[in-house]
Amino acid sequence: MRFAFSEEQELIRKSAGELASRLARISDCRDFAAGKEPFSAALWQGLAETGFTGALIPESHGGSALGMVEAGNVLEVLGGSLSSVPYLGTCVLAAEIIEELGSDAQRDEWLPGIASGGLTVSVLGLLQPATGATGSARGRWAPVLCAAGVDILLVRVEDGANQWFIVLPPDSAHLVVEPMVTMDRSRRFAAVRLNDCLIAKIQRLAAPLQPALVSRLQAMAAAGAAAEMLGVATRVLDMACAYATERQQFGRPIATFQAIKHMIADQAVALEGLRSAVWAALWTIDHKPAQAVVAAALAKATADEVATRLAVESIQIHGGMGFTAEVDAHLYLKRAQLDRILWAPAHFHQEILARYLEDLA
Amino acid sequence: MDLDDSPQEAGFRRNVRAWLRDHLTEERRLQLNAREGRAWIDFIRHWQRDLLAAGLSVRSWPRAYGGQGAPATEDLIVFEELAQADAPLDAFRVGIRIIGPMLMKLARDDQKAAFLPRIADGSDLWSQGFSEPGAGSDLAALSTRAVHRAGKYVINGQKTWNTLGHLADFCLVLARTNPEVPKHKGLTAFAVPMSSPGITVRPLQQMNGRRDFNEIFFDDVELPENAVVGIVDGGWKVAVTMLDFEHRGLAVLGFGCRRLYGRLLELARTTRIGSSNRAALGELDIRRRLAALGGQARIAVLNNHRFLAMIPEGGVPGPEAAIQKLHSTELNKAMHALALEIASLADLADSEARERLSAWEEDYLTSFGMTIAGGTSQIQRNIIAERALGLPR
Ligand SMILES: Cc1cc2nc3c(=O)[nH]c(=O)nc-3n(C[C@H](O)[C@H](O)[C@H](O)COP(=O)(O)OP(=O)(O)OC[C@H]3O[C@@H](n4cnc5c(N)ncnc54)[C@H](O)[C@@H]3O)c2cc1C
Repeated sequence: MRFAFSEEQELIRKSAGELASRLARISDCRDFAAGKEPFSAALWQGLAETGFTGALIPESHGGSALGMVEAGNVLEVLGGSLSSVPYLGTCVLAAEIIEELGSDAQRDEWLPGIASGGLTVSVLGLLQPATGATGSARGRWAPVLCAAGVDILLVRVEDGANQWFIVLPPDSAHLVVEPMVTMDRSRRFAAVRLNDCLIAKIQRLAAPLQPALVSRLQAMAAAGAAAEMLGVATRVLDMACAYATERQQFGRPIATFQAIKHMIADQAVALEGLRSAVWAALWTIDHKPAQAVVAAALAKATADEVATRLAVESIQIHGGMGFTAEVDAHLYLKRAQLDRILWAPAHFHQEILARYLEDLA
Repeated sequence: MDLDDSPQEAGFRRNVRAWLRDHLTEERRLQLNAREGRAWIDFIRHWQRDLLAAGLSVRSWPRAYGGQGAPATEDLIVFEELAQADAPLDAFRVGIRIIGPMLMKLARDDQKAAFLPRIADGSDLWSQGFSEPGAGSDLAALSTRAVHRAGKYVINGQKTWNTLGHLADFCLVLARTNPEVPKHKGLTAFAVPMSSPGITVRPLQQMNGRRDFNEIFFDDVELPENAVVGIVDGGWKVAVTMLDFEHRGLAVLGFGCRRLYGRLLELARTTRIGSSNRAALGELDIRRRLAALGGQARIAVLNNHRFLAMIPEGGVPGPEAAIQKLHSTELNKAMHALALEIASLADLADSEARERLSAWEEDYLTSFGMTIAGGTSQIQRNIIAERALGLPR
């Protein structure tokens, strides 16, 4: 038993942090919001050069065959730097889906692209597949990250007893992809509609999707999103400490007022708990697949509560400055609020825990 | 990263479980949890001796002091399994988790040799004589005096809320040896035999109806010079070291929270709401609240494992122990509050339901002590903010 990162894992955290400090500074986030890029191409390139895009891809296809713990470490850094890249969708979910369900030819076609950073993917329908009359399917999803800017969409469809992932380009005639403007401008979202279409006429991954893989993918999405939120919460607490130490009122730093000091101490307790929950969930996905659903739900439910609470309180700690657009505090709040609903509706994960009470014991 | 036991740890855990299965009979569990009277303390002493003989106590201590020189993980496994088996964790807690580790860091070799093996095998029960009527959170403001006179120290003053002092063999007393210097700098720690002439112990009645803690009066209690622990006027260092170990020790309550969560589920499963046939566990509101607490209990256990990996082998726990202490003691309180609520949903015209409620009432009341003892939750927040996060005082 050693609940700590290995040296290699620490190295990954460090080099992801260095990458973010070069290519995902907070000024980049503000520039991104003002620009038109679907995601930060420069950062994506950097992730590819460091090999992080291939974290979960087998070595035979150009990746480094690491695990969810390592990918989660990258996601934590990406979240903390408010990055805009489709890492979770492409390098975690799509990598897993194509590896599990693709034919040899499909794996050869797409996995090296993901590993090298040449291919980006959005995954749709992880919770709600497209459905319809026999042989056909339609569906609607929002918010979807980067849907307009990726190379392909993997859409989960249900056809009677079988489920598949179909493969569509974002400009496919079957799809309507509308930009969805939210308060979080650090990323671009879309509302996506799949019009009634005949599944057989569309390219799909070779093998049907089994329920166990659906659960696994949901757990990966939840734990991955929770890792991003852990990054957000960590930054928020750092900023609160720095500001409360530097800002003086009544002749002393505001951190010396216990209303502020104790709020921050409670934040630290919550953040440490979140770290335990997230890192344990990532590890559980790699090593204890049968327990992954509950571990990931705990991580994401905790992240939903903690990251939003810390970001909310951070505005108050920053006072009037916190209400300005100039100070970064609001950027984290907006990010956390969208993270809460990006991969599943609010409360989804609390409800999983309430269903599996015995498994928490 | 590996959250699983290594093969060796797993084997050890199996042995612990098997031993507990064989030796912790229902009768013995009741005796050990009675928490009252001389007979109880004898049960506890025997239990401690048996644990040690089976190699299940102070494993991480050096062999010379009764331990096995094992990694700290094995101590943690023992605590985890004791908690799951509902065995008492805390009668020798002060000696084993607080005084012993402090002595190893700060005491003279002859003191270590004299005290540690007797703590380990249950011969000596120790208590912690810190708090006074005028000095609780502000411990350094204490006024019990120790005056050096003719090769001896003479102690006068009063301690209070002293847990198990009425049954203890020794008390680690913090007293003022130098009133001329700033308050933290004039304190000295003493190992005081409770049989010393001039000591009077008066049990205090607690809000849960028990009498676990006491007032202790010192009237011209004479101690030899070698009763000093650490250095003269260096008592604050002793106190801080003990408090760090204490926070860590209380954090083991995280394992207790997991066990408590299991009991809470059982309570909700077997409690019918009023005279209806509906189990409390079927109510959505209760399920949600159980999920939130169960999640936090899981987190408390994970924190225990993770923070263990952060302390170097044999090192003093850092301020992260305060994080665990605050988290697990507040959680323990919140879980008992929900238990009380669920137990009181039952049809209280039924005598069994009333008995059950009354048992939970006592546990509920007991849960309030933990967020005060060893430094209140507010003091933990100060420690976390100032020592863990580096915020200004
Ligand atoms: C069950 C139990 C067992 C105990 N066992 C022992 C024992 O074995 N040995 C021993 O020496 N003592 C023992 N104690 C005493 C315990 O350590 C003290 O009660 C505790 O440190 C608080 O001190 P106090 O009671 O004087 O409260 P006070 O210090 O008077 O505090 C009262 C309130 O004021 C708050 N407060 C005080 N200072 C601050 C501050 N700086 N910032 C914010 N809030 C503040 C506190 O949080 C609390 O809410 C025990 C207590 C309990 C309940």
